[in-house]
Amino acid sequence: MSKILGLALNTFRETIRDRILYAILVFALLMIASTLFLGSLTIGQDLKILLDVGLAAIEVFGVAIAIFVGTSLLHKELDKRTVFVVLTKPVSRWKFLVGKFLGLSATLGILLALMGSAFLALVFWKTGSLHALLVGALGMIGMQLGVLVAVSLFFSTFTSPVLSMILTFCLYLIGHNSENLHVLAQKAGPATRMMADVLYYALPNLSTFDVKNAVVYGATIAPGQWLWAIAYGGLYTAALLAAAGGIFERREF
Amino acid sequence: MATKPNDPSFRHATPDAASGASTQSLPTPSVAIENLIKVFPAQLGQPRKVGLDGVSLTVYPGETFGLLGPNGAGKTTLQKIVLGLMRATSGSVQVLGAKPDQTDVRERVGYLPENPYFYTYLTGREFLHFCGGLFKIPKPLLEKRVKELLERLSMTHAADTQLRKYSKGMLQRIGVAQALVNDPELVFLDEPMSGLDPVGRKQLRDLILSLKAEGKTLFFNTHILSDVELICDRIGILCNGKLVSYGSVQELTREESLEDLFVRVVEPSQK
Repeated sequence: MSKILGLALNTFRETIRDRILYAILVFALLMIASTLFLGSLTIGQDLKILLDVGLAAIEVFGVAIAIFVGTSLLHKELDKRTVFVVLTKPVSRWKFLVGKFLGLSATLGILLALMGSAFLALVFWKTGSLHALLVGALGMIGMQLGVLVAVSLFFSTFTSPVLSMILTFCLYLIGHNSENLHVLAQKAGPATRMMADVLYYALPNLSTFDVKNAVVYGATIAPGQWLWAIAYGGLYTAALLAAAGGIFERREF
Repeated sequence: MATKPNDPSFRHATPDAASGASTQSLPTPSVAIENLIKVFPAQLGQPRKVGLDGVSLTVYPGETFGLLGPNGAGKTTLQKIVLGLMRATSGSVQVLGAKPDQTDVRERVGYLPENPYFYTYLTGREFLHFCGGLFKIPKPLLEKRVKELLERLSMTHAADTQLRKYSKGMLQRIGVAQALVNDPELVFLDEPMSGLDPVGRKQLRDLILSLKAEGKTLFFNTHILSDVELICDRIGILCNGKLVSYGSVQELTREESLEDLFVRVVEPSQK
């Protein structure tokens, strides 16, 4: 375990010392702050705009970092040959991958906390109160980012960084629309239905983590839905990391 | 006369063997390679390539073994297979009595890659702590060892400087330090002298000699022949993936200089 933590700490140091990250963070904070201005352009909808655009901005910037940094993590190790130094030590390859995953997740966790704090501060300033659902929504964005980091690492084990980036982004888009595959499966013939069903269950269903609408319109979310989202995110991430580990194990350097 | 790889006696040539000592008392080899073949499959626009072609060699505890050869001879490929970074197509490899993919055996092995690139955002001290943390070393001992290594390699003054600000020679020295952080009994060095100025080479050569004096087993790849004569007990010369010469330095250079031997065995296959 200490080896995984050492590798995670190293990845955390690597990513947290990347200056591009701070540029993205500044943009994200400006975007969150701009929701106040956008809200003032509407009549009576300013809180909804703040909640909707604020959460969307946090998600978009988080996803951008998860995909850009996630897909370059392994490639950098291979390109700069730093992987030789680590993998010739008593470290199994799956531990190396899990360390990378945890390190980047920690960085994303801190960025999410910073963006989330700014967002919550604005909501509190505007309404004088804070609903626990907001913190839950931020947590769900965090779960989604974790899944995307695992997807990025999975593709990085066998494709180039550019292709990994494209594939991860495609999976992000599909993941938010995978319910449509389920609907399609019900209406199609047996062969198409089977294929659509396989894709539906194999691809990440990121809409599981999407509670923005409930937050904006004040709907309630059953405890079971939270638990399902956490269990689904955890299991899907673990399965992806296991698959990535299997591929990475066979890789030659 | 150079020992030929197809001469059965050469495969078990040890420092003792040259002086006529009995081979019954041979210790367990630190590295034992038998008929190693590595074929790189054909890729888009490139035919399949034989990287290693039936290489057999043995390195015994306490020995300093030099693997020589021109660029592209297969030296790095061989070290990568021995260290588990690559898989052999066929043949057997044992490192300290274990297979290269057994991670536990690496607790006792050190490795300096060729032209090392390290995590440039780390300081020298952070890097050594990171590397040491990958071994089962108690924290106080690691702390002590990092301090000693920084002193031994004259790097204390730069310990808290980020690696991105290091010169080539400093990177090489910190690379050697990370290879020794676990106090290994077997150390692999891939072209340790490349890119170093004469002073850097002298310092590194002295360090290798002191490791040798401590009884460590050293296996290094190089094409700098003068260093080999000073440092190595035995050598092997690889050319186009084949071991074309193998034996003790003393034995191989009895009738000709190492340079003449190298040119004689390598030149025909390069024509």
